[in-house]
Amino acid sequence: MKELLKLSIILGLICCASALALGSVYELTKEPIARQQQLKKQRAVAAVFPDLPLGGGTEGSSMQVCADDNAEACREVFLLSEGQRIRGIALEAFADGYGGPIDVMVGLLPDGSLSAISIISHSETPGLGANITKESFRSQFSGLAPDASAWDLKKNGGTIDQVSGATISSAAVLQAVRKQAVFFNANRSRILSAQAEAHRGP
Amino acid sequence: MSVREELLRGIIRENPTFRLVLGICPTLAVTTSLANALGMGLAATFVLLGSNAAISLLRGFIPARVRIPAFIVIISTFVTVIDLLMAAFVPGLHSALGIFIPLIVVNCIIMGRAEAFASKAPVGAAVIDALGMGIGFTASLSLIGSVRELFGTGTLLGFSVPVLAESPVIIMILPPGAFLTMGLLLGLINYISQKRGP
Repeated sequence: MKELLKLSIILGLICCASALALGSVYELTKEPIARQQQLKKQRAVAAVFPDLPLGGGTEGSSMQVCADDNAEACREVFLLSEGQRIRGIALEAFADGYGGPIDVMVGLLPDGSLSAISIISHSETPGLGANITKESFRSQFSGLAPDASAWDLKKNGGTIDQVSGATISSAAVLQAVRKQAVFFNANRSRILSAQAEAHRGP
Repeated sequence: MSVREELLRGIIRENPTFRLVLGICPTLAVTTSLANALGMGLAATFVLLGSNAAISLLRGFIPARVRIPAFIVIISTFVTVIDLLMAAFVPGLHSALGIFIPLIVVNCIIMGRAEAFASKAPVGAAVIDALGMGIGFTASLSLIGSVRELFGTGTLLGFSVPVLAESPVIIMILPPGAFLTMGLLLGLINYISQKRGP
């Protein structure tokens, strides 16, 4: 019994010391990590709208928009405006790729048509699925008409030519992009008017 | 044994990758490029230094019966520290190495050195052992990473290499390339060491 108590106390002490060390390192790195994540998002937004500034600087450049009946279906929407006018909307999308999640930034124009997409991160097979990051695949999305339901791969009668040997990766990106576009079209007036209100504010 | 011999032991005679063949899972997984290999090697070296020093200092304090859980707590503390630091200051490398940073916890080199060496040796020797093993691990990873990056993408540290860049052999950066490179290098090293005699 005494032996058991001694063992527990020693192990407990080691755990306490390590918890203390971890706590202080966490505090130290909390801000830099948050800043890096913010930067990463900004870079991704800039990749789909290279010549537009993020409206309102870093703060207030994004807003949470929720679908009407579902509290879980909230998304962060980035708004890019020039003067009072909104010129672009960026949404982050996640797709289930072949090798893991694919993180895509989707750039939409206010009328709902697609401006550009950019792959933020992915773990697809190098040389095959990883080619979704190539300009030749991504540029096919630019200028797609507002009716997102018509966006599809060529083999399904659409206009997007899939990356050869990577149907799963291509379809995953397309699905994710389409979902964000449908979401934007469904909540379009709300997203656009929210920004106008913010501009009218004090 | 002199300091120099102790260091060289980890780098050459008891090289963790090619002689002890320990920690092969991260070795095969992250060596798709020289930069990844260096990052993984340095992260593991940091953990090894920290854990070896801490375990050696506490060797009189940790009862033998709970040494394994104690080692794991100490090792995972250092791993989490390097994980957080890398996320904060080298985010690119951090996301490239992904899950393999947290998995340093179960890297058998670190556990092995704690159990076989640091728990029985004074701090100075344990630190030198960690340095030797760390350098040995980093050097082996870099060797495999260089071969795979050179042939698989035709670059080295991201810079394009003439001739090789024209037709990269993609299989070299895919999982089979890891086994091929590792196996061939292991064979070559065994051949050399056999020729030189035991």
